[in-house]
Amino acid sequence: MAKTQFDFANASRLVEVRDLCKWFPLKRTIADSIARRPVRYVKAVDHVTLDIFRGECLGLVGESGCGKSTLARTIIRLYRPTGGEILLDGTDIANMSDRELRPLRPKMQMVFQDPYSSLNPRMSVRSILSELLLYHGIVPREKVNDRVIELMGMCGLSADYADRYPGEFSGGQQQRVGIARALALQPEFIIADEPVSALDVSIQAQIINLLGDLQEQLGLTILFISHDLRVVRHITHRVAVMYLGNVMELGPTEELFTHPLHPYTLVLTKAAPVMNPLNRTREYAIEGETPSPIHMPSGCRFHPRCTRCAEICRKEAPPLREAAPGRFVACHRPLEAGT
Amino acid sequence: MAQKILEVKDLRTYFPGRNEVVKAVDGVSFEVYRGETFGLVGESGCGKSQTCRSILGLLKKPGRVVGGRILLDGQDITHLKEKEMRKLRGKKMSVIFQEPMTSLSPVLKIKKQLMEVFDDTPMTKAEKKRKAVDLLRMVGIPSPEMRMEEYTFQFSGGMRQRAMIAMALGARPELLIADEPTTALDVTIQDQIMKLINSLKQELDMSIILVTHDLGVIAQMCDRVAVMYSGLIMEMCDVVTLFASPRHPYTYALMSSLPDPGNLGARLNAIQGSPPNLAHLPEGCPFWPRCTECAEICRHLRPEMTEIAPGHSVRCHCLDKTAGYRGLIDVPKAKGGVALGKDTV
Repeated sequence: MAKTQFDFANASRLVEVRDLCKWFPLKRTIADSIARRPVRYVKAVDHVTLDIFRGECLGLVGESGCGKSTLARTIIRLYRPTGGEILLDGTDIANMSDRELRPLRPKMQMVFQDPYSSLNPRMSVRSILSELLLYHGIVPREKVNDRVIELMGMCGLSADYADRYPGEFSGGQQQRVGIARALALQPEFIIADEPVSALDVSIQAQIINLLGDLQEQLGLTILFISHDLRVVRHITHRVAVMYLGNVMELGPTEELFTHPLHPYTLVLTKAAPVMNPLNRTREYAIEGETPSPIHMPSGCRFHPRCTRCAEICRKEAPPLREAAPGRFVACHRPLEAGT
Repeated sequence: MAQKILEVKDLRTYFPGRNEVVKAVDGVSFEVYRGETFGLVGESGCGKSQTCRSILGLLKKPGRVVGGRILLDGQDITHLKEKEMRKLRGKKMSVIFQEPMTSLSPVLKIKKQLMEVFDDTPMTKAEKKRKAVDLLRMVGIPSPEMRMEEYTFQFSGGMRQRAMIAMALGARPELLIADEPTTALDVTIQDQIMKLINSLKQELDMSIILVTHDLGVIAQMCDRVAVMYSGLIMEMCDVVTLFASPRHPYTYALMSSLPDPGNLGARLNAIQGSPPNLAHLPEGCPFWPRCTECAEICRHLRPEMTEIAPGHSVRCHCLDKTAGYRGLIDVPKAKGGVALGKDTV
């Protein structure tokens, strides 16, 4: 598979996320209630707006706690959003009830980081897959078995394994089962949340190839979450960079990696260890650590750690705006393309 | 080169089970010189952590060193009693683990845990406290006087790892064993911790054994590297040679399975299959079922370590086929010895 140039100009939007928020309330003590202190929130996802085009692979990167998994789980409606809209094919699913969502569930599926804990250890692969097919009535009962074998074949699992249990598989094979389960309902949209992070290097490549092949064959739209920039750069068409619940930069993968506009994107690309022992530095890519999402910095969230911080950054949060065609950045003083 | 701080000779660590024996480490030999960082790289289950635990005398039951010798600074420590081992751990050699939270006590203040390091030395409480503050400052924890009154759960992942490093280095060990010290951390924090360990090594004149599965970490930290697979060292050489001209098919396969920024979106050269079960190793070379160069002899006879150039040993029958391998980097012909990046030396 060669990653084809994605034609954004003519692509239609499959998912439109508008101003999406997911805040988790913090526990209040009795003293808080008596003193009538306002409820405090962890703003895991705070006013995020982005589009996902039909057929693209969108990468979502950021450090732990930046809200990338929460965003994914909110988009797929495993969480109920605090505010904002999620348009799936034009229909707003942000406030739908579970019952209303059920017929839409087959359209969007998820692959999880730890394949073992996301599979029922007491069910064989055959029963895991056929349960789904029967519940959603995807294929008639007499064809279920054939479909199970076909799905396993698509994910590189031999049909002999159909009656085995998840615990009998290696990590890579378990993730293949996880992918087969996500594909069983013929979804249009797949969210893969760190699908290769728990796997060994030699197995990672197998799963990445599999995802790439499946995307091409089935025309899937994928939201690929990872903290491994090398992998993201390899398979995604566009990338969104998150920091403390906000999207800081969004743009076509190669441009974003070679000419980052946001200082934080630059930091991330610098921090990944270079595979060259002749190229070592002593300088830190960035000092300090991500602040707690409970005590969010004023203005731009990145300003306390930013080398380009100016007066305005402390006061006003920069909106995500289009700096160049297709390239969005939330920064008052973005880097020039080329630095 | 310099003196040896550690010598491991034909180490075998087995885990006997009811019906089978898991050969976690099956004949590993290497040396670590004073002042160097020696990397052990491999996938999970290749025996890299068990090698370290054998050296430290911290094997979990039923694991046992069944063969070979471990010499620390010339002293045979292979079968030392626990009491003797305790005298060595901390002072002579020390360890940092992957997950600092599980190696730190959740019920003691950082101060208390740090001051314990000096329990063996005659010191007043005030002196110990001052030393503890110095340690925290050394590993870059801001306002150490305040932070040492906190508990580990009040620390972030990066800060915990720093505290762990401070504790490990408290008694100025000569050898530090770092078992996946950055694996649980974010990239920016990993970057900080790697550079912290690099500079502390020079400051304190230590030797380090660094265990990792990440070739990037190896490239940034090590002087020499051993690539392990199924309890065996497959290739051992200096880090530049490893990245410039690997000679073992497994090393090469690991490197080629990484996404290549020069060839984006292309299919990755995945290694087929998965690592073997250590209780039922295939006959011959353990890598042959996944090897692209596999010949008839590989299926029957386990290859021996062969020194193909000074300081470069490989365990492979098919060295003629692997001569043309190109690594991840190009090196202008080295003018005698290793020329590492300008900031190392």
